[in-house]
Amino acid sequence: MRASEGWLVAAAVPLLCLLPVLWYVVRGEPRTRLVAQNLAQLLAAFVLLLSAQGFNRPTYLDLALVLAVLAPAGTLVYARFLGGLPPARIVRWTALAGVPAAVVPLCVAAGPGRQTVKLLVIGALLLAGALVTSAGSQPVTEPDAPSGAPEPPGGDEAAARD
Amino acid sequence: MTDVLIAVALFLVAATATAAVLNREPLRQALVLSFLGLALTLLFTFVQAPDVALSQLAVGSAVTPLMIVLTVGKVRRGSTSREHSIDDDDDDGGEGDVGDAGDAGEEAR
Amino acid sequence: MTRQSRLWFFLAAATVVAVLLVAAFLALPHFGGGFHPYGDRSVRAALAHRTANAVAAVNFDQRALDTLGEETILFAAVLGAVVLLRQIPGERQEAPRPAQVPAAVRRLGVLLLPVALLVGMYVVAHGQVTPGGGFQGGIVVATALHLLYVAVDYRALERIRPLALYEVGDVAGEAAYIVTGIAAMLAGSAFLANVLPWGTLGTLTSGGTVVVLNAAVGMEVACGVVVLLAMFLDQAVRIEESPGNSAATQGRTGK
Repeated sequence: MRASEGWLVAAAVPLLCLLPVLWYVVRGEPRTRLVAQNLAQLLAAFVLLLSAQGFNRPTYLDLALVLAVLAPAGTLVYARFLGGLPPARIVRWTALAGVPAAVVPLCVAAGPGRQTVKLLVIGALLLAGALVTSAGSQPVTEPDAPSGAPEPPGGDEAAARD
Repeated sequence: MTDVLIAVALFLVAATATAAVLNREPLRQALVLSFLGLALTLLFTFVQAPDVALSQLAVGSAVTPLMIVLTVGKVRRGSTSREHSIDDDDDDGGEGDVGDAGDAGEEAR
Repeated sequence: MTRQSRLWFFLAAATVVAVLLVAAFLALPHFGGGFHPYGDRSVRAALAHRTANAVAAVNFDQRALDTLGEETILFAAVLGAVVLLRQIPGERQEAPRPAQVPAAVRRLGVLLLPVALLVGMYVVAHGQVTPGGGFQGGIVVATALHLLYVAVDYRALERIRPLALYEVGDVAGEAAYIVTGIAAMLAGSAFLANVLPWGTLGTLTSGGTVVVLNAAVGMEVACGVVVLLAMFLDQAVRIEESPGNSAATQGRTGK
């Protein structure tokens, strides 16, 4: 179908944007790489949303939905280890501009119904995740570790008395 | 148009996988592997295999990075505490340059 | 062998392999042709059992025995990790260091957790209709629970994760799969045959035993991954070597 070609061309745009992001993921400090990984997840979600429409398969939206809920978890895993989220203006602006730009035309194309609700939910999740993980936080000195204080009673009984 | 998408996705996968091999430090490699997971998901979607793409997405988003990050943290703590213990015979220490063998405990700072 | 000579040896071997691979690729049939004997038959069999997701039909109906093997592989891997990462004499448990996370991240984690859980269960429940199924949905459920660790604290996660329950859930999922298969035998058919009513194509209860096996695999995978991550987390965040012990080979009785 001719109309689907347009959506696939639109899907190619965030896909090609992944190439410079790859450059930043493979080089540099871990904090830069983390921002790049966060941005890559957002762009991949856009690609999945637009490809679902382009291939005329609304079931592919489940992929975008799962990515929208798991992407913040992935970024926060690294942030926990690196000791904090680096502030990422590029992620925030890409989300603020890209999510409406992708979701609104798709909702118009889908018409009222369950699919539009799903698209709006995915858009809201992507926006919330991107905004919170791009806000940045004070770097904490050390990642997770045992605190050095023995566990209050209920923990290991054999090693308690040395 | 699908062919163009598949070609770009294939290139992303090949480039990221090569970069993942060339990055030796475990934490940086884990970040590259996250990106590789995303590229694979997109490739599987473009060749119309959404079940496989969903599996890759679910596993590579959070479970694999979490396991790698926890292991790296534990091993690093283990190697630094070992260098401070009294009866330590090892001479490695905790400082190392970019490791060339697959030694998981070395840092690359 | 010096490093240089190893590198040259590798390059020579790699060139030979590359030449052979290129020759092989040039002789392959074209991608995406029209002749798919196996595909035609399995799609026909999937539609005969009213399963819209042909991949789920292959996994849980036509080749359900293979999926039992794969599920058991995951089960065995979790079991191996539990054995390897358990606390041994010479290590002790300490309280995890409290984490400082920004309030916005904590709020996002707490809000996202029920949404992610719902999405995971949705993926499991719709396995016979849309892409997804027990394995994918189970992983999403397990990751959703661990949002409480990455966005809040390990203690918060431990409150909602009584590990014994999840271990029981893992075993129950594995057992449910086998029991379903045996039930099919008791109903007069073969092990893991599709004996339940097939329903209407495209609805949530279509596919017969595919629904039940999806749920069993979903529970097994979710609980198994939670137990697996719990072993890693305990080792990384709680367990520490007791001072004065350099290795774990202490002749200590008890745990």
